[in-house]
Amino acid sequence: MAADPGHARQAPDDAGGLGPVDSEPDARFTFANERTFLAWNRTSLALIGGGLAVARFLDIGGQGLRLIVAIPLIVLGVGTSLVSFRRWGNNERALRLDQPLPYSRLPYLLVVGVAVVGLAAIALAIVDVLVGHV
Amino acid sequence: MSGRDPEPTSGTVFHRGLAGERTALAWSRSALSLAAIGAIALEAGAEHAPHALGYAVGAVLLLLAGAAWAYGRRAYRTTREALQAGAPVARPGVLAAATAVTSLAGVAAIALAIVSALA
Repeated sequence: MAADPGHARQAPDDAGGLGPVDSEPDARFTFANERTFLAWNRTSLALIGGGLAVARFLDIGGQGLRLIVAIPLIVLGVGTSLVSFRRWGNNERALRLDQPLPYSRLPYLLVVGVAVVGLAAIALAIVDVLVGHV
Repeated sequence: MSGRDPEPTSGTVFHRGLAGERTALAWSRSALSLAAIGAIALEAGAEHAPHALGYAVGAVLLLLAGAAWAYGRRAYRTTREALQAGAPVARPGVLAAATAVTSLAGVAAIALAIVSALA
């Protein structure tokens, strides 16, 4: 399993474009990585679905106001999906090269994004009450 | 302990069957989330013009959700086989497709959201 220096990273198995590997990692880790990606994927879909639901069902005065909450949520969902796929690839590469898993800011970015949208929604709701649409 | 695989993988013993089951469950959960978006899209299509947009997006997403669910179920079996054969189990192509579907669903959702707000 240890690659000799002269043939390091020459293993033919590159698992569909991930690049040369030193060794096939423990399958458990690859499965855990995939399930982690799918968990992020569900989060992305929930954000997209939530944003669409806001656009469809939120009863706030102005027509365009819902979009202030809906569009950022959907964009957050798409961004999360793209970043999580890149993270999956980085993790898989680290597993194959027997390196520590790279740090990802994805959870932090997601929390900040959702918090900002949440605050915007609260602000919108307050404005809506004050203007008297409820 | 019955059910524990006697042949260790990489020096450790783990339940190969459970890995496939968790994978299938993970895919079915994503499928469910995708189907929910499809359902909302169908409702949007029924509510206001352009009806075709909502219906088309909803139908496509529901079909893709079904495909994802079916793929997860197939993975339940092929995962176990791949493990026993010692074959690589990373699926970058499939996960890239899942990312693409999710991103396109997001674009469609933005279109539907704008149409809804303008209606």
